[in-house]
Amino acid sequence: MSVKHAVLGLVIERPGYGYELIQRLEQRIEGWRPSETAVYPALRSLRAEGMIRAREASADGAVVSAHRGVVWYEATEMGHDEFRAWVRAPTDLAPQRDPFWLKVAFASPEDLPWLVELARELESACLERMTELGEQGGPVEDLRRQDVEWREIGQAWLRRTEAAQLAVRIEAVQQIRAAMKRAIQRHEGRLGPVPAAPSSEPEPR
Amino acid sequence: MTLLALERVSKSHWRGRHEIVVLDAVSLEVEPGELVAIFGQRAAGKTTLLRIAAGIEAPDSGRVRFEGRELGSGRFRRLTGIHPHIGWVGRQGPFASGMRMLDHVALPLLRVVAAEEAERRATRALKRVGAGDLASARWHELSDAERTLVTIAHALVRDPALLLADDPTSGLGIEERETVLGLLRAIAEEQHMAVLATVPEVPDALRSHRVMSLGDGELIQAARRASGEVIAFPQRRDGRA
Repeated sequence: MSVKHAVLGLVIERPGYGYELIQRLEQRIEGWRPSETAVYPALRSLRAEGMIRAREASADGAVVSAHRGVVWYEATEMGHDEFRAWVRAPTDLAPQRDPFWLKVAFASPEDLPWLVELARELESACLERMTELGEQGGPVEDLRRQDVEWREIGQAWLRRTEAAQLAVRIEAVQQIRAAMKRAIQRHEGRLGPVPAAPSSEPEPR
Repeated sequence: MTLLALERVSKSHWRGRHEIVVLDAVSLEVEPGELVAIFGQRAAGKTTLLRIAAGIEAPDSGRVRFEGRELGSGRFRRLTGIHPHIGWVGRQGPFASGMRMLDHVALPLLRVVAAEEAERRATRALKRVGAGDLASARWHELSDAERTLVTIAHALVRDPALLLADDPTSGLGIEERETVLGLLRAIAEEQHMAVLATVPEVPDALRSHRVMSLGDGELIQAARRASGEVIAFPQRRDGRA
């Protein structure tokens, strides 16, 4: 999934402007940190391709004065068509992009105490994201009502799927943390104490 | 005042000469009105953590404070003798298989109030969990989901301040899980009760107010921080500066 398609999907959902779209995107989909640097170029290129067009005001026109000078975007017919084609096109398996695992794979034993700490941070971040997801939606049983729109159901499943992926990450991180702790002990046994265990001083990044 | 506080609780099991660290300096606090979920795989130590929180099992080190007082370590050896302000949701059925569910739920009260009053409160507890129609059912007639609801009613009947639920969703389907967790959340919010529940799968945790994970002896909590804030690294787990 590209930022472009995500932005197009959001604009199809309802018209919006740059900053508002960034916020909606951040709330929905974790892990991209889709900053201005990603969303604004996507908007520009979607507009250049004729997928979206600028409009003067929000859909209901009520908040115009509060957002003077802001460019609202709505999807064109072509944008709707393109998005539909993308929805129906085959999807590749997403690659593992988390740099943590790259670090783990290439770390030396001396790095492990830091990675154990990083593993804790990562797990904690997963839990925080989980809390956010929980705050975003009601229970699945509400979604069985007849009057619920598909998009609401689909997004509830997006949340549930993300939660399931977080679960897998948490389990993996717990296991690798245990493995690293064992490796540290082995390393200590062979070479004496591990040099420079994590101190309480913030490390320069 | 924090309702339940575990302070650097550690516990090891011994398997022959091998020490298995189940809990490694685990600290947590639970307040009234919140449903806190602890996620962990099987054998991660979730039940041990709950048993220690209930005062059924003693930690090797660390302290458990409940309602501001130290919970006598391992004082309540059996579930039936658990602290009166703590309700335990496990998987245990009635001790006599032919019992009506109403009597099963009323049982914890019999030493406290008259039989009639116990029955009235048990009826209320069953209704509260949406199992009012199971009053005269027997345990073997119930589905897994119904058993869970009855077990929650059984724990609720004494009006506890804290509910400890040991994997209340295990063995249930997606929608039944939602029902059980939605109920626990509603109980926490409406009755201003604290609920600490362990869950075997993370999506279950979505219904809670706070999520923690237990694995490899460590309890990890969500880092609530303002967005954009840089994490001080490396950070000490024990909170020392």
